[in-house]
Amino acid sequence: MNNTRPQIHKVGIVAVCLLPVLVMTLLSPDVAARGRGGAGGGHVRQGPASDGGLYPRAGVLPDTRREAQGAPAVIGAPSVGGVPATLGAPTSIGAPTSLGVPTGGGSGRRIAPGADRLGDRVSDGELRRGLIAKEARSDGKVEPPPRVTHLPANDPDMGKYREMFRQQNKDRLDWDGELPHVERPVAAAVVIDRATVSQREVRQSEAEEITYLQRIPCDAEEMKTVERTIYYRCAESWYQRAYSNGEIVYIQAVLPATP
Amino acid sequence: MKQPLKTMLFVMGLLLPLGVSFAEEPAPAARLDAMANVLASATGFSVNVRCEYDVVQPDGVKVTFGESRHVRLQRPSYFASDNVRSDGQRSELRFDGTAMTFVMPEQKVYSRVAFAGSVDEMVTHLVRDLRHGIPLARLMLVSLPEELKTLVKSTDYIERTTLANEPADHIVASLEQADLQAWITLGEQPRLLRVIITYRNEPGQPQFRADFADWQLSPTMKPAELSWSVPEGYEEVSFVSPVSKGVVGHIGSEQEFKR
Repeated sequence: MNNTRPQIHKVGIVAVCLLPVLVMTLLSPDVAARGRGGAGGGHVRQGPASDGGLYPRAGVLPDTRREAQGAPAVIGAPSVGGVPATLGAPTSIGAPTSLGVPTGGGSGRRIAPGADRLGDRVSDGELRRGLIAKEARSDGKVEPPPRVTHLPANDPDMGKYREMFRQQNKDRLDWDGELPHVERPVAAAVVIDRATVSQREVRQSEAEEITYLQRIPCDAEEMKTVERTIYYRCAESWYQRAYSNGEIVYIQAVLPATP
Repeated sequence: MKQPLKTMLFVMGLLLPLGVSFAEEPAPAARLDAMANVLASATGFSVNVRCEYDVVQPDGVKVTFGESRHVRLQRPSYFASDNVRSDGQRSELRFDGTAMTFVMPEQKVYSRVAFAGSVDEMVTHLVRDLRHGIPLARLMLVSLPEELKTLVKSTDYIERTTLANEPADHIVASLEQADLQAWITLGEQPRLLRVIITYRNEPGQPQFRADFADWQLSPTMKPAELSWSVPEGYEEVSFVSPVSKGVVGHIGSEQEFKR
């Protein structure tokens, strides 16, 4: 008995000494970011090599590089209590700030008014600024879009078909890489709904800044399903899911009034 | 004695170039072109692709992610890809000539973007304009041979290897911003066994690597096999396209913007 007491005492001292180290480690931003899980467990998953293009693809850059290139790195305070702070005027990310698409209301997808005024930053790109293109959503019908090209359907002559596209990308050799004359980083977004019918239909005049999140900023405190759309509540804000490059992202939304 | 010696030397002189030509390595550019032509000439193909790519993290650590894809393509207008990322996340892409459908089966979410056109137009639109990744997107195009001819600056023959399941020529091609290594099978219908793309100008020189298996050229696929119908309980969500600064201005022409 006399021998075990000093050993327990030593163990206690070691534990007390290690406790602050453990706490500091757990509270460090890096570990906290990784612990949130999500894509790559907090690691950047997209990079120049991620798509196997013959030109390198723009990836998601570290925040330091993002700031250096003049993009809106930090608009305001980071999230408090897991909820992003509503911030002041949106900053320009190269897109127009006054655009013609109404937000909120109607029967369409309800992007919250002021969703374009969310914070822009939580670590590893959790919050991103974005652009919204059109508001038409989900009446259950897809109108047949105009054909952009005559297709030689069932044409056994592949030579004719190939000739049709021979010139398609001659002026854009790097179409699978970075867009030309565009500064990094990938920070903005376009939300595209069914109404987008061709590659020339996403027009600047239809775009509106929004912010989307790679992860919802809390464990959803409440969920509601309205017209087959699920809404998630974090504090006073509602979010809905969206799809982006193989991942689910979150857009702030207005919860429709239920009858 | 002198005359036979002369004759022998003369004959040897004639045979020597032939002997040299027998020992010549296959022309690497021709091998690359033959492979590209096989793919571009096919009315469709299916293949299993196992991809890996490096992403250099903000702290400089190079991390490798991966995914497997089962790709089916039937020209002109059907494309399907079932994908599993290295973290287990599954996604599907379907294109039927009128719309692209993106499915996340585990989250019971799908997104649909109307787009009329061919597989070629869809692939370039998705990668170039909507910034959605399709690994090795150029392989899907009928213009692959022409694009390679334009992009490849030089080629070199490395070796004939038997390390893969079947003999293959190892070829390296130098492009403007990347080095492409390809392992191409022998025979009249050369196919890709393996590809490595090194982005030599990017920090950390990340690589994209892909192994191909179960090639089927011009398979007969029914549209029903390539289409997707909404199962019960799935939520339709918006498609969010990350874009770089100012990209929206590039998508629509100036004339369209003013309209």
